[in-house]
Amino acid sequence: MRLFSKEITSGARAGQFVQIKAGDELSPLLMRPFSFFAIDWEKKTFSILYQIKGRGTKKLSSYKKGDKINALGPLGNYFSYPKLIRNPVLIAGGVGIAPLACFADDLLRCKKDVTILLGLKEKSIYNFLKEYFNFLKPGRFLTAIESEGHCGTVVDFFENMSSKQKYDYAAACGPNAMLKHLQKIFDKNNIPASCSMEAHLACGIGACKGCVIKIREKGRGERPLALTYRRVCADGPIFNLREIIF
Amino acid sequence: MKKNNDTQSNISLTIAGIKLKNPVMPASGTFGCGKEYNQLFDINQLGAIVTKSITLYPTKGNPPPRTCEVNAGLLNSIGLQNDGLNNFIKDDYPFLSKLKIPVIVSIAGKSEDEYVKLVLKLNRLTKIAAYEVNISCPNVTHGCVIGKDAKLTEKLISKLSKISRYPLIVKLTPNDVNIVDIAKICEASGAKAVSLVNTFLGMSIDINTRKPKLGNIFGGVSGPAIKPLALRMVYETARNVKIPVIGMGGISSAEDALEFLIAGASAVQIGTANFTNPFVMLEIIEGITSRCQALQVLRV
Repeated sequence: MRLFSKEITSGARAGQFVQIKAGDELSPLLMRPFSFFAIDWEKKTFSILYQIKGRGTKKLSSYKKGDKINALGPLGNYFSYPKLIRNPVLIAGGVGIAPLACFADDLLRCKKDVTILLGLKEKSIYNFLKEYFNFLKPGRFLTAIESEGHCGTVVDFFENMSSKQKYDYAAACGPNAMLKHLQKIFDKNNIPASCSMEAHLACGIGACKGCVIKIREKGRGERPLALTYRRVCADGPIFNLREIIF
Repeated sequence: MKKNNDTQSNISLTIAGIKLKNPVMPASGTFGCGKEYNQLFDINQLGAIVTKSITLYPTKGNPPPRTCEVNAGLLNSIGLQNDGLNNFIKDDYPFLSKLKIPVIVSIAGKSEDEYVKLVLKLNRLTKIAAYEVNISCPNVTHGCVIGKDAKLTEKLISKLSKISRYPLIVKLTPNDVNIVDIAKICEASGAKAVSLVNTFLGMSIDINTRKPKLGNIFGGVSGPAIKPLALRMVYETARNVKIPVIGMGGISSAEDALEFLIAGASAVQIGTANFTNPFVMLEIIEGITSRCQALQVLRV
């Protein structure tokens, strides 16, 4: 879905999100967060990617061209990465591809050799994405589709890649189980990694502290590692993957 | 312009000695200290600001997930996460002290001693209009202990009203109490107003994992789902105490707010609705104003 907003687009960066309230029904009551899938600063439009799952996304799908919708953004932090990296790999599970697609755009503009690995349960959005990512170099968009007989998940796929050592930076977005496995692999291979986290948001702007996740933070003195709660909406959604406690 | 000024004076009021230009303020915990929302609109347009509850020491809060949506409502178990009194004074007070509206500081303690220490230290600050004494948080072990016990409430509020430099507003729980009785005790103990209701204790279960949806198992229910329950409590309480009642519980529109005002609330607090529409309080202020104008009501 593509939306036009001068205000939201002008300050928007890859990794950030918008809160969208579809309709004015009491259920769903709250706004729902969607990462930027693409941002077009010239046309002042941005796109979001969603899968119809519940009442809210069903309602979203009923909107037609020209309709108005309530959206609040841009919210949260954005992807930042070490300047000197050359070979970033972006690993997504399902619609987790959204923030990474936006980030891939960013990285390409900075002349990085981006590879995307995408894990899908079924083929539904494959064709759309395959075409969408035609701006990548050949062989840089790799998928693991379970329903197409692919053995294992995108995590297994990555782990079995002989070339994984060449990647000097990774970013990921997907289910927590996937991120947890990736964390181990990145730790083992010492690859710096960011991830975009999902949570139930209430305010979306950092006020209510309802969306926290556990972070392993560098403490002081005798307690080098301390657990703290960080807000996904305001301290994230982009975190250092290797500091998250799942 | 003159007409506009007239309108604003129409819905101004005084509660517990605090002058408010309108009866709309955020409910504690849903608005932080206002910094975040101030980036969206000028919060000086509100009647007052109520801060998130401050505790004497930094409080980590409850394990996630801390929120989950229920039909027409929100279930939360934040657990009073805040950086503690000293960091409040260092980080948030400078912002609050520049506001042009009354600042109501919500305080929460694990014991009477903690409330006393909070009040004594906050008494040194000048830009505070009142304390909202939170004796009703359902999400911390000690949160509701005082609020559910008439004797402890009486002891705490009597003690605090003796040492407090600012008026006390006591925030009441709707859970396991006769809320009218507790309100009467607060009045007799020196409270200058009561605010009600805090959230209703509830839970939600994921039928696939068979586990509670909240990390803390139980949480407080807020939002439109609780409005009729809260309204009844405000109505009964307002008829039984002489001090002002600040009403809240699922208010999402000017019409909802007017119901509470008609039920006897002097002012209203808005919580969960801020999450649905961050500008809702401004819309409610405007709605109340135009409704009063249409009916030629001179005072709220």
